[in-house]
Amino acid sequence: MRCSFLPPYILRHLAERAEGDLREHAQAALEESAQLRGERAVAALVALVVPAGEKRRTVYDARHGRTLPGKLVRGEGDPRGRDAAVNEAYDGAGKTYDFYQKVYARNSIDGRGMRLDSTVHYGVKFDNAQWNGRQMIYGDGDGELFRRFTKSLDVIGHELTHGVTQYAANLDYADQPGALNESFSDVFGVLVKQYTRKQTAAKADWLIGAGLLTRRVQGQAIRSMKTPGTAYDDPLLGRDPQPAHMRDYKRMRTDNGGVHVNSGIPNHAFYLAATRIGGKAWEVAGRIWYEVLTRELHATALFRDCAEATVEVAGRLFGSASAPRDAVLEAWKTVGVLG
Amino acid sequence: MKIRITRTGGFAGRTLGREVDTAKVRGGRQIEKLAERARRRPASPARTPDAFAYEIVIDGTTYVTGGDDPAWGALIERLFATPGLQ
Repeated sequence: MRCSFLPPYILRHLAERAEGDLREHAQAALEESAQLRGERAVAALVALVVPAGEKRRTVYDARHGRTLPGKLVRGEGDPRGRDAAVNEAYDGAGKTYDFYQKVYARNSIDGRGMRLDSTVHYGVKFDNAQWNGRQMIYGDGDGELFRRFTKSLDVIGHELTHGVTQYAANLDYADQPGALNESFSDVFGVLVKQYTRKQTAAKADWLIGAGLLTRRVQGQAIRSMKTPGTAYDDPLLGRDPQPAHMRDYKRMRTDNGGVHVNSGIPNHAFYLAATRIGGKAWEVAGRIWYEVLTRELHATALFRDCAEATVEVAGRLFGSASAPRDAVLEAWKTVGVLG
Repeated sequence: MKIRITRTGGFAGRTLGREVDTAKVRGGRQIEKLAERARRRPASPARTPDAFAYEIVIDGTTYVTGGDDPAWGALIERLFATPGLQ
């Protein structure tokens, strides 16, 4: 692609909005044209669109209210305080930023160094963590079933990845595209944890939200990518409803069409591919899934679209007769998405 | 006034339900006031990731909301805080 023939306003658009190579080309072309023509205006433009490559984090305290973002309690570089939720939100956002930056050369959620804002102590005994389109929100948990939601690093990685998805494939948050949106958050959430612990696919627990449930609950986590449907089975909490195969896909009206339920199917496909490939899951399987999320999928993509895209990308990155491509294809066949 | 609330979605994807007959619970009058205030407000479902989705049936009329509106939020918090409800 010969970006340098394009006018600056198109380059700027590409440099801001495009992903990966295309974006880098556009940024390089902008810089080049600035140097060639010695235009200060273009050079200034480059300074605006080329990310600084630094992480910027802020943590707010909602003080059990529901007004966002709340009171600023910690900015980038500020020392640790006494509040565990604040420290966890800050450290978890940092680890997630580092993961995306070092592994996939992505500068923050939007790829342009967006500040990572988190609000803790949201609501009273609030049993949730969420991404509201602009920031992360964490509740303290009710204390009986759930502990504070900053307790698990993969939960923080999960929420931040919702932001990445918003700036990438922007998958609709309902039905199959919604379950894919959920699954990408679980995949990269669990990879942040594995990367931080320097764990191989074989050694990892593949659990989402381990440490979130209190000791009273009979369960080890909220979801299991290794064996969906087995994370918990408790009189109060009920039983983990996730399927691991297309034949058990649940058509439901609630939960936006079961986005947190049917994500078990693509979750398990990722687990199968990563463990069959072996080694560190973020290096090969994660790379394939990242390419697909940021370059291949559109907002209404279905499981099958995602499966086909991962097989194609695996072939492109590692060869059409490579072990990674075979592993990815086999994984989607095992969960019944590809025939 | 009879109110049924169902919460789905959220990070854990857990379903939670409550039913209340305001004539039969303590503080029922206050719940009625919160419900009257909420139903005058527009109810819109949240489509943001991991947000809760609430389905609230008030005397046979169904409202679906993300609970972001303060009036709906107050009713939701009150309903889940009412002891003895199933």
